[in-house]
Amino acid sequence: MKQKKKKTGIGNEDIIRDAEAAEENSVYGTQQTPDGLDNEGLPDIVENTIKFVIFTLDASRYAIAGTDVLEIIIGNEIYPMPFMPAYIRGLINRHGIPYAAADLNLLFRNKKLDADRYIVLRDDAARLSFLVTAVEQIISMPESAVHTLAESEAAHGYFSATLRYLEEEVPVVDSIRIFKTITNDFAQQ
Amino acid sequence: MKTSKKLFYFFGGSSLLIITAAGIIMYSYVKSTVIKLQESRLEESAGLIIKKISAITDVSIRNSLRSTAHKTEQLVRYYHSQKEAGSISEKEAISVIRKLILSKQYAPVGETGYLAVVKDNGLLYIHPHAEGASITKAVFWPKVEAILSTPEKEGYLEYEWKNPGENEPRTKAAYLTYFEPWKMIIWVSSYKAEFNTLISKDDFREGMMERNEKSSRYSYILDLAGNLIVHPEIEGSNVSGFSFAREMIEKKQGRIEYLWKGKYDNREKKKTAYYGFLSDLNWIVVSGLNESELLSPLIFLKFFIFAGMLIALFVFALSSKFVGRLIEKKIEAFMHLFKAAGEGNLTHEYIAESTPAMRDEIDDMGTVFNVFMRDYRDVLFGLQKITNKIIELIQALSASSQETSSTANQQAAAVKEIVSTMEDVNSLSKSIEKKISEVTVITDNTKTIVSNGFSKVTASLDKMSEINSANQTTIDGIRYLSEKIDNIWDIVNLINGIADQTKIIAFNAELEASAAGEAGKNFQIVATEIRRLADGTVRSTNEIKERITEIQQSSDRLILTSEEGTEKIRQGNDLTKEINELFKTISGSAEISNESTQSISKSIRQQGGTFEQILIAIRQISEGVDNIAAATSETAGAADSLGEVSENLEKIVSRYVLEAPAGSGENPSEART
Amino acid sequence: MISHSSNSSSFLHAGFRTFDFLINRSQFFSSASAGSADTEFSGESLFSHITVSGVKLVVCNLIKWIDRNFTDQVKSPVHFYIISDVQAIALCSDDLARYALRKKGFSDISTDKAAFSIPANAEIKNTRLDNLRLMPRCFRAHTMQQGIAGCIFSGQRIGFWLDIGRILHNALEEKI
Repeated sequence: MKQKKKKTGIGNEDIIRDAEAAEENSVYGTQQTPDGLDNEGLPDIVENTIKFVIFTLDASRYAIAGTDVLEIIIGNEIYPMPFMPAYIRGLINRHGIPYAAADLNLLFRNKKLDADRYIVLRDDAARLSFLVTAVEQIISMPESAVHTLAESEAAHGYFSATLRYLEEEVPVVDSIRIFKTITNDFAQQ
Repeated sequence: MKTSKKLFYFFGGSSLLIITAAGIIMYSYVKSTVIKLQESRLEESAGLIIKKISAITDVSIRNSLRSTAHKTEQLVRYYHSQKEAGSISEKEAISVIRKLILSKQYAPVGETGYLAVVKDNGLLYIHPHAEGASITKAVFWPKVEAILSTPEKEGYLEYEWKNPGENEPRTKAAYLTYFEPWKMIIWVSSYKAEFNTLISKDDFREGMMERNEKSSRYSYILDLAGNLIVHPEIEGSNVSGFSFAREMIEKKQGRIEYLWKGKYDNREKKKTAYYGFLSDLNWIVVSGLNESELLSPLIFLKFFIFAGMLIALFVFALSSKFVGRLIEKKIEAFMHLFKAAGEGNLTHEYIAESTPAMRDEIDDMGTVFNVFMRDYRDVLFGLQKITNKIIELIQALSASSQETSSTANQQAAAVKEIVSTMEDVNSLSKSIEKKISEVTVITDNTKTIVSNGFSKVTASLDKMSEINSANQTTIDGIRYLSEKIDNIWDIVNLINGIADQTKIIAFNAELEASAAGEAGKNFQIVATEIRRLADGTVRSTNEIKERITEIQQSSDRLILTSEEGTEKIRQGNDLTKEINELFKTISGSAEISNESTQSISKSIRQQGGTFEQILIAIRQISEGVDNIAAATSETAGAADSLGEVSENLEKIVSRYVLEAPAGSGENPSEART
Repeated sequence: MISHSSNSSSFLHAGFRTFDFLINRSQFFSSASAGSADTEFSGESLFSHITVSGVKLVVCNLIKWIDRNFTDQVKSPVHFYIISDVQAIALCSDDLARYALRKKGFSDISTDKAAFSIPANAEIKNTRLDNLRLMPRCFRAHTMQQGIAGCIFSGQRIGFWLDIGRILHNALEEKI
């Protein structure tokens, strides 16, 4: 059995290295780190109002800061992945780029969600999306109307604040904390 | 007690006993041999002395007799010459000779001895007692003839003779010479015992005297009266008063022991003597010595035996101590091995002697022990593996049994339900049979009623047909309307979907606008308008949906009603027709129904019987399943018990150390001798 | 997106029922067809061995690996083998040597080459590198560790790009 001396094709390491470099230079989405939010150019915040996207998981209502959301997409197929925790349902194809689809209902209530709408997070490097039942509204709330949770309250959950919407106290999802939870879970595996 | 001590006491003691016994036996044997030797020397000595004295006695007697015979022959020859000379006559010569020979003073021959002249024809010519008698018949005559046949015509002879008046014959000695001219045998004889005066003691005394300070060996002679003829110390004394002397005189020959204090003895000492009888002289010759001298050769023997015993005892003690210690060391090595094994450590081994010559059974046992321990360790290894495997299998079996038991229980429950259902069916069949019987009765009544209603129904048939046609037209129109509404519904859903998507696009636009900041402000307005449009669209479509729903519901109700009406008409029509047909059928089948119900009843009874059989079979199955459930429960229980046993076995095996600690780099520790 | 002097490269594409799987052509240098003398895969093991040109090679059953982890089955039961050099798949030859020592019947396998079982419907295609995507960063390192280097979307189907060197290493260490 004679081995060909000439290498056929490009090695995996080269391909991966180039891909990571391309990611760094990518103009697709905004360049934001998971640890911080880009506060530039948000006229609502200058006017002391904050935009929130109201969404539902089954019948429960939640909010997420508009600055955390890149896009809402519907109808995409989930491609299941092995070696994942249960709440990572798989990958979705967003414009040819794979995004992780996290089931917040499994994370919050340990119940699988049957839905096909995704809130894609703005952090393009993370490439994370949340599976939701429906996106109800995008509202602007004065900052004073948002009740930020104390550190001790927020420490053990996935929420950073609450707001009043339609006579209801709606928890505001902390996407950074959720991202950190996912990262830690993989680190421990 | 230590092995070395046991060896010492046992072997030392037994060797001491053996050596002592051997010494005693050897001493006894040697002593008896020495005594025999000494005594045989004594006996021989006595015998020699007796022979010597006999020889001396014989010579003396012979010389004495010959001397007398020659002397007498000279006398006879003288008187013969005188006669030849003519001085005297033969008769006178013979008479003188007779007188001289028979004279005691002439030549005394012992005490009772005498001279005699015998003619060569055996007649006693001159004799003190029996002249003229013939002695040719005497026992000694052949000896006489033998002497006469010799050239010298003289000689010595001995013969047994008893004088008249004597009880026992005695040995008589005689010497003969022959005087040819007168044919005379000159006979000199006497009893030998009468010649003891002729014996010169000095001739044999020297050989008998060994008595001195160093030796108690000597011989002596005593006569039958107890007089000591020859004795180194008390010669001439009479010892007939001593019992030993009397015994010797009585027995004349043998061995005797007696107490005697000799000249050099400070006390009486035991003496051993051998004695013999010199019959010619009636002497008893005795040779003896002190017993202490008899046993003197044994003194060194005693010393050597004793020394040998001590040396042997010492050597045995040393060697038993040494051997015992060797054995003890090896046994201690074994104790160490067994102790370690008792504590659970099976890694120790026995090291045998390196020198093959020094190997013994204990080393062989150690080698075998090592092999045994290796085999035992292998067995325990295998047992460990098997135990672990058994535990795994038992766990699997237990789980499986429990699962099977659970399944069997479920099956048993299911079967019981079946049984219960079958029983219900069975009872139901019976009740149906009863009802069938009732129906049979009813059919008979129905037949009559049917005939009456037949004609009335026919009239309404025609009217119903007309209504039916009108109703159908209405229904068709409504259906057409409904289809159109469905089309609208699809369009509305499509619009709704687009509105939904538009809404999402609006959301996304708004989000992008927010992210764009100041530059996106105008876009924000556009996005808001789009969202409003989408919301409005959604609202409109929702209204349309509501309307369509209402219309649809109305249409549906209308259709339903119409259909119900039509259905009712149709049903009525059909019913009439059916009733018509039914009347025909019923009237025709009234009889049949009766038969049918009976047939049904029969079938139901059969079915009931079949059901009962099925029920019995299912009950048996139920019992079987119960047994299986019980069995699998038992199996599960047995698996649990087996599991406990395996765990106990594992505990027992795990208490043994079968391998040396890993990474120590050492072989299993070994017991050294 | 991947920008490279060469915009495309050859990849082996294997189509299963639900997904596709890609293997970089540079990771193997030869192939061999399945023969009757090959050792059967038995039980839960991913490994067997074949002899190619007198050399005994360990065979990693990729088909079974995919079935086990992606719950996806091949369309065709027929398979063949691709043969890799340990350097090309960034595998340490000690991995094979340790496995050879540990497993009965594998003591004489080659320690610098390995084979993989591939469905027979696989084909080598020129693939645009800018269509290859890395996994989301939140679990990229994790999936790479498992042997999934990335993916590619083709219409409604997704293709997973596999690193067979990593898969073999994990299987040899019995991590999977």
